[in-house]
Amino acid sequence: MIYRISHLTEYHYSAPVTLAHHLAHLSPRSTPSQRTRRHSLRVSPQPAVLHDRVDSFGNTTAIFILQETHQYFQVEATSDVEVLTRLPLVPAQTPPWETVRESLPNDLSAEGLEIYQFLFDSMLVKCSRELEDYARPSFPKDRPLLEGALDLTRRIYEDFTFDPTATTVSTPLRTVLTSRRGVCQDFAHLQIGCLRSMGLAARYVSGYIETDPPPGQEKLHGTDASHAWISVFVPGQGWIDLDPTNNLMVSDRHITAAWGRDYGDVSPLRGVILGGGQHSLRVGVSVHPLDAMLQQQSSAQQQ
Amino acid sequence: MPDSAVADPAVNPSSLSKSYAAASSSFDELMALPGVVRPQWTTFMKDLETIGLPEITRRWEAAARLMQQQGMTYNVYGDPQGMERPWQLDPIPFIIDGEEWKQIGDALIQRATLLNLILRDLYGPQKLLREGFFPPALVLGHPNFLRPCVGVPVAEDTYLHLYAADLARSPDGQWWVVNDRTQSPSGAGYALENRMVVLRMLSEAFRDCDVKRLHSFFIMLRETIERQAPHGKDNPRVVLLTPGPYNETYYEHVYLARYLGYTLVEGGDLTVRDNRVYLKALGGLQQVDVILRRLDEDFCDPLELRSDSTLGVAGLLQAVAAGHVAVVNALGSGLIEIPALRAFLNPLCRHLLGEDLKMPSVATWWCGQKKAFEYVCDHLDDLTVRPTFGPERAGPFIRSTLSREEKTELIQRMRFRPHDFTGHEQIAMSSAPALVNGKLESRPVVVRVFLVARNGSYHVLPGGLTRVAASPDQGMVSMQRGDGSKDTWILGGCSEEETAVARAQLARLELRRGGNDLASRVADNLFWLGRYTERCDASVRLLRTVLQNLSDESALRSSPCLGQLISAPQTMGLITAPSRDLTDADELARLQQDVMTSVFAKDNPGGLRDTMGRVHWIASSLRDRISPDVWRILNYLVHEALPAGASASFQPGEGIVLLNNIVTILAAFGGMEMENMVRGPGWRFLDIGRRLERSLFLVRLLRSTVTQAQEEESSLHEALLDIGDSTMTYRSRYFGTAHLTGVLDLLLTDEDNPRSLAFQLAEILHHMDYLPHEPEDVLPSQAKKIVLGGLANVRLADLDSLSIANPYDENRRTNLVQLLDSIGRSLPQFSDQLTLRYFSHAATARELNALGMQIQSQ
Repeated sequence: MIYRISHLTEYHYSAPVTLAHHLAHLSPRSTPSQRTRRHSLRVSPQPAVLHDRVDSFGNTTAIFILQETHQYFQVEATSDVEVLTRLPLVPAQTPPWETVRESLPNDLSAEGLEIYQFLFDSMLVKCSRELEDYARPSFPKDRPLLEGALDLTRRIYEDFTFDPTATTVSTPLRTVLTSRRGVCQDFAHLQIGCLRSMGLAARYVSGYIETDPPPGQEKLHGTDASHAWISVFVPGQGWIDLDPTNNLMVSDRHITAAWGRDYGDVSPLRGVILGGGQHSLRVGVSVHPLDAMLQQQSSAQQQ
Repeated sequence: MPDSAVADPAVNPSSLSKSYAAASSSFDELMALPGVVRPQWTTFMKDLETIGLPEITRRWEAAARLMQQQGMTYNVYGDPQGMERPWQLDPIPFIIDGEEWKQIGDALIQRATLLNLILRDLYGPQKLLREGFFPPALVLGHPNFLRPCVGVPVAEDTYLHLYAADLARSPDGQWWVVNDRTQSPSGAGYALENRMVVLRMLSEAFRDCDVKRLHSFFIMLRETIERQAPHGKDNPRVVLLTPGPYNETYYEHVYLARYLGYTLVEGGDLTVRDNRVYLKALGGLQQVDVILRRLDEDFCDPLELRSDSTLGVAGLLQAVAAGHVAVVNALGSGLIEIPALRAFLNPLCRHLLGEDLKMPSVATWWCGQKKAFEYVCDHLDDLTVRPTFGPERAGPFIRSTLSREEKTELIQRMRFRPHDFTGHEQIAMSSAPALVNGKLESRPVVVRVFLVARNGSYHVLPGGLTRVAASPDQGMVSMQRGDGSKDTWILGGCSEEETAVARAQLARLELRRGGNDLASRVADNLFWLGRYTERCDASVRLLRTVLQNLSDESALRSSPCLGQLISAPQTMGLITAPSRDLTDADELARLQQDVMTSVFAKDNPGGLRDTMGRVHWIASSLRDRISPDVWRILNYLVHEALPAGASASFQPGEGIVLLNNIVTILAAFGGMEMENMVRGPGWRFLDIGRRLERSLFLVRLLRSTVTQAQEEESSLHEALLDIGDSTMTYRSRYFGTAHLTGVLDLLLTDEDNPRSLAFQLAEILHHMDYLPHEPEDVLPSQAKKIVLGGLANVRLADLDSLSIANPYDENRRTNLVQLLDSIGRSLPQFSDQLTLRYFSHAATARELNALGMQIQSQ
């Protein structure tokens, strides 16, 4: 399946902005289960400097500087991404979670270190005994790791209420845990915190989710804006994506943009501006499967 | 020449050391055995004997004054008594023999070299992690492992340009490293300043002891810093980046910037455009080549590092990666400041340098290792446990003096996240003599030693910052806790290299004038310094005149015009008490009390104390821009002018004395400004600020006092002349009682009177011609037009018609009202225009709240 994703961000400022530095994670990365066929980023006003850089997690990051005075700013990212169907997994056949916990620190290979870094506290996700206490019931002795992680995903889905008014970007995890409310970003942070507190490696995935459900399927939460979920490392299988907001294992309706330790590493767009006064923000995201003809066009462009 | 010291029976070379009680359980730096002074101390002790402790005590009272006058301070976080703590310097230097110092130096050069190699690997290939020499958790789990810096090349492969180590000596005489400082080591400036003070107070002993000089180290430091400039640029522009006046070592930042000749900047003074760093200066943007940072690295770039930092420069990392600017120490070098590193340093040294560490570190166990974890749990009583990554000042340690419950809780926390904890042995410190209440007593000491990268190796500062505990049995030393410091004397004279470097310093000098590279923020601050000092002056003069006229013998007191005089400080917010019935004697007495209260009130925004506080605050942030003499005056104004014991219960006479004193202090400031400041843009902004404030004051004063015609006005006019310091001139020109026309001439239109409004506006206009402006600006700027208009109105005013009361407008002086109101409205606009034109890019950048992009769905 090929999706066309359009992600538009607009800022209106009440006072002129004389200088703005921005950093965007809007270019979907290529992974074993998805390929980016086309990506474009349009920034207005024209940036004085714009270049791509690959960050330490392998995400393509666009960095740009707006040096002309502006009161309106927009970024439009358009991407065609081919999503492959992931092989079905049998959770019961994954290794017991304790053996994974023991093995993680001992792998000093470059790949091992790459995984190991997702075990530690990050700016927005701090491990705690409270998180461990919450996670513990999902991980009885010798339970296969993925079974436990899926059970945790389900419990977060059932115990927590989706409520966009309950939290902001800066609401700490502790508050989310006690209030039992939040949005996909909070649930992702929560599950990551739980897994890390259990000694397991987990990372934050920022991306998109299919907007229009195929006939007969339920419309998923997280549409019309970017979405977030988590990835847990399972030896032998690699990183497995779980979506606590929708209680499912990710297959072919999620498109990965970037991953990192938490939201702070991969926020779609951030910036530091000079001036600006009050600002108003509008974000529009659309995700559509390309029909056959457009798919061909897209392939042709690719070649 | 006969040795008179031996012949003089009063001098007994051993009397001082006899009365000194050497430390019993620790290594005593002074005494080898009872009665035997260590050789490196003998010359000094002899001199000390000759000078005598009473004389030393006397000299140190002068030294304390000297340090206070220079504003030598150390900021203490969270101190309600006010942040600035006077610097504590003990008169007795810490003395180390040259031979021993050589060994210490060699060991630290090895250590600095090793640490630099470790940084190079961790921010490069990371082989040390994969080969098991360095636990990955200490890097990957480190909150200040700056991932964006991995793979970014640094000049000469040097991350660590300046390194400092804290050393302590154990009872067996062995030196140990107790702390590594790799982020942006502080203290070298304090060490230098300590030396300056001691040199002035113990000059004879300093000469006798053949002490190594410090100066050449700072020349080398400067060379190293300037060598980092991209593309080997000559005469690079270097700035010292400070977090600002709230930082604990801000004084040192100011001092070092001055000593090294670099511009002191805050993050807001810099901007990144086209991946280059620029200083926002009055004359435009000036490119910066090297940043000597005293700002913690995670705060350096709010775009890519801590987004909540308001102290950094957005885009700095990208500018570094693009190779357009160098940062000293390199961003990321704080990574290895963690104590846990010490547990792995010896194997790392063998692996990377093929030799053992020459100086051991205090024994350390990182709990991320199973055995170490168990050891720490078993020895909690003997060890200090601290968070592996926690900042040291965050309530530093979990001391071993814990209750049983606390211990259980600690072990539980350690078991949950073992790698977050590090244990180490309690630090054994040696003791050195210190002057305590006029006697020599032994006190624990820790020495901070500084190294600078040079020619592929390191050079050691032949001296250091010795910290000395306030009490004899302290287990740690900390300036934050109020312990003291000592100068550090290394005996044996300077090396050839040091002498050569010091001599070669007669570098070429490019002549410069102008000053358009003045940072916009500095210009802004100077403008406000001018405004606030003038506001102080005006407030004091007004309050003083009011107090004088409230005394029983004053003519104004019984005149109907008293209310008009009182209304001036009321409308200006100087007196906040409600209006009183001025015909009632008791009420008048209370009014007198109100005025006294307003002089001393601490909580009146806009009041005298508040303004004085602002003067101090602005002056603090201008420390590198104002001369020590000016600083001393302002320091005196803030700290001494209203003494702690002074209160509203003083007699009015006492209040007047205090106010007189403040007028004198401010006159000294004004004199300094006129006689000692170079007529560059900085001075012009200061003076514009002063003139603008005085203009505003005059307009408000006249507006609230004489726009309503009254009977018996002459005593009010006298008071106005008094406030405007124009009484003498008036008397010399006119006889008899004061007449309004004459008063208005002196205070409004007489351009020869430095207290008149016309004088102020003319001066501002004159300054405007010298401020930097764009070549294409042929027409006068908006700001200039405002002043031109105001001045023209004053010049064209007809004094007689201004003085006439309008019988159709309830005896108001309609023309005067119009004139004052029009100028009173335009002056604030002038201030805004000036800000817009010259200071606007001094505004600080802000984070777009990660673009406020809470990910939401419907």
